[in-house]
Amino acid sequence: MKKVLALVLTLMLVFSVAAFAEKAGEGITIGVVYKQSGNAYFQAGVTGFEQAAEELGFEFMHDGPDDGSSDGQIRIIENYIAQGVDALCISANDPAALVDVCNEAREAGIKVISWDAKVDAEGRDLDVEPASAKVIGVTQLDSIVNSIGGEGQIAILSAMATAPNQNLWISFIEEALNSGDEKYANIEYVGTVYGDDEYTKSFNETQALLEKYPDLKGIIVPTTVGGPAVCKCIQDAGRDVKVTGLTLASDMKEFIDAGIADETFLWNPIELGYASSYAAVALVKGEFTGAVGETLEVGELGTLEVTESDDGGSILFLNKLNSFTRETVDAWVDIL
Amino acid sequence: MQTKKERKPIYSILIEHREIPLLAVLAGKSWLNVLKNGSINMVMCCGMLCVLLIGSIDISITAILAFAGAVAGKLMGTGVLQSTVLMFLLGIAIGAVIGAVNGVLMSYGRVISLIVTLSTSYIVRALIPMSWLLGMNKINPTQLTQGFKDSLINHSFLGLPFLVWLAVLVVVVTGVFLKYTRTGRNLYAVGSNAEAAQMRGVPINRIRVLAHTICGATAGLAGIMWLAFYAAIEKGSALGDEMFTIAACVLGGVAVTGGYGKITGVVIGAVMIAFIDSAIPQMGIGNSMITEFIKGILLLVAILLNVILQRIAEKQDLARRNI
Repeated sequence: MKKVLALVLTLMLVFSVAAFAEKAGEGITIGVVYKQSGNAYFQAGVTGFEQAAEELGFEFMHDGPDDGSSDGQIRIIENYIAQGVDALCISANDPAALVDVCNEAREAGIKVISWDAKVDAEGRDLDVEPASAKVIGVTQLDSIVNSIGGEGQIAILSAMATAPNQNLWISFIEEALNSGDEKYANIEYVGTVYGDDEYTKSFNETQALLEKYPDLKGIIVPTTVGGPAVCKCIQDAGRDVKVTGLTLASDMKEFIDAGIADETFLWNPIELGYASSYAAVALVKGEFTGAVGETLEVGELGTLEVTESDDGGSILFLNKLNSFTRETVDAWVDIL
Repeated sequence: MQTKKERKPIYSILIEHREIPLLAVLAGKSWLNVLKNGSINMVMCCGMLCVLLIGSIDISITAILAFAGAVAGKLMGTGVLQSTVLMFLLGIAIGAVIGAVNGVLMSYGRVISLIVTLSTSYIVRALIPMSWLLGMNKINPTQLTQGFKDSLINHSFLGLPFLVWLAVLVVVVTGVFLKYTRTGRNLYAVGSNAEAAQMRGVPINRIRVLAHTICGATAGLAGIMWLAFYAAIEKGSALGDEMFTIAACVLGGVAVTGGYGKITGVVIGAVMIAFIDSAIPQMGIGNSMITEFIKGILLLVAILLNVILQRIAEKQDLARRNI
């Protein structure tokens, strides 16, 4: 009896080891660094690492500075290097400030991936980002065109006039509008105003837009601070103007339910964490080098291709934006 | 060559040429927006007038605004507080307590009010992102009751929303208090000559605490107005706007050295600031630098005018005395 039991136990052990061994990430440790501890957005990102860890079997630690500083991140990274992690996944507070410490890690044989916010090309192996500027810009444009039924005046309320991300997205929106595409033929773009990522400024600018363009049909707001301010202003004015943009679900639930916004977007930090994990494991195992043109199997997200980024490094786009609609917003309220 | 058909009344230009933005603001319903947007600042100006009169200053008002709004919003969001009236009373109470602390430190503690209120503004604003208050989140519209959100915006009287009437009420009460009550007059006395006031039996320290308490209370009230108007509040709400409140008072002719200032002047100053905030976006320049540039120029002109007028008045006085 004892022998049978011992045999069964041994077999179970062997099979379980075999089962574990099948997991690609077994034995790999990843150090995750984000911008700031206690931020709901990055907590969602960590959920993505957890999901991937269950599928791949790697271990990971995660930490971020309390104050959102680069030097706080450097201390965390040095700590991870000392602990001998195999890969680092960093959402950088400053793309240039972390380059030295990242190269120190790479000299120690650690693979460095930036996710969500890049480390400059010379300090990383790969950057993982939600979507290309073109996809982010055109998705919002198509959404507002849909919302207003394909014709009418639209405007953009941006963040600071100098904000590089916003300006890039807006340039792609303008490019699409000028492309002569049939679906934008009846859209009149009246211009961009700047809310400076301040609630009251965004509110006042929206008031002015509504006054100046009595026939305005839609506003694109590619910044999370502006979204609720624009919607509240439209709601108070009682105007039939639709809004779309990049927003937090919790900020917009009220206005999506009220029909002021049919659909807004933000990338999914869970998927960002998930894809970064897959990239990290593949890099550590040497199956993937992160060079431009290579492809990577990312679990349930399918196959993604590495492209060249603006700074000359390599970048992996998920090319997927999450949309919040009346049906889906409730599920996101507690996450974003 | 003008035909009869082309002749139009002069005001039609204002209506048709909406690209003449300042005129459009004057002619159009934008005045309502000017008054609405200016109401919160107007309320804080009344408190600021009281502290400026005693020769003090308070730069913690917008921190108090954000803190009072965050506390009240959190209580409403968690279901503890559902009454709109209690929200306003709570805001006033929170503001008054912080204002009183400012006043005690400034008068009995003999610390310069600029430093006292700078410190309290840091402390109070830093409390907002603590985990027991807002944490990393903000107050958003879903956390507030519909009745509260409607209270100031969707109820109106004589065509003006309650938001504006509330500001009018605070202005009238402050005006009556400063002009017709003994305590109100004492604010002027303390500000123009504290020693003389003390010899005359004015309890100068108590008056100073009172002035700061009033200022804090108006800031707390402004926090609840903000929450009801914008239906959102977070750590950075109204950050830096205290300077617009001070600017409105200075534009209205209040002396920052104390002892001089009228509520009517402050009303004009606050409306001017609100007008600039609402008119510049209409011009389609779309740049906040321009707004601030114009505000700065206006302030300088106002102060220079003040100084010049004062010099002329002094010269005339001397001339009359034949010296």
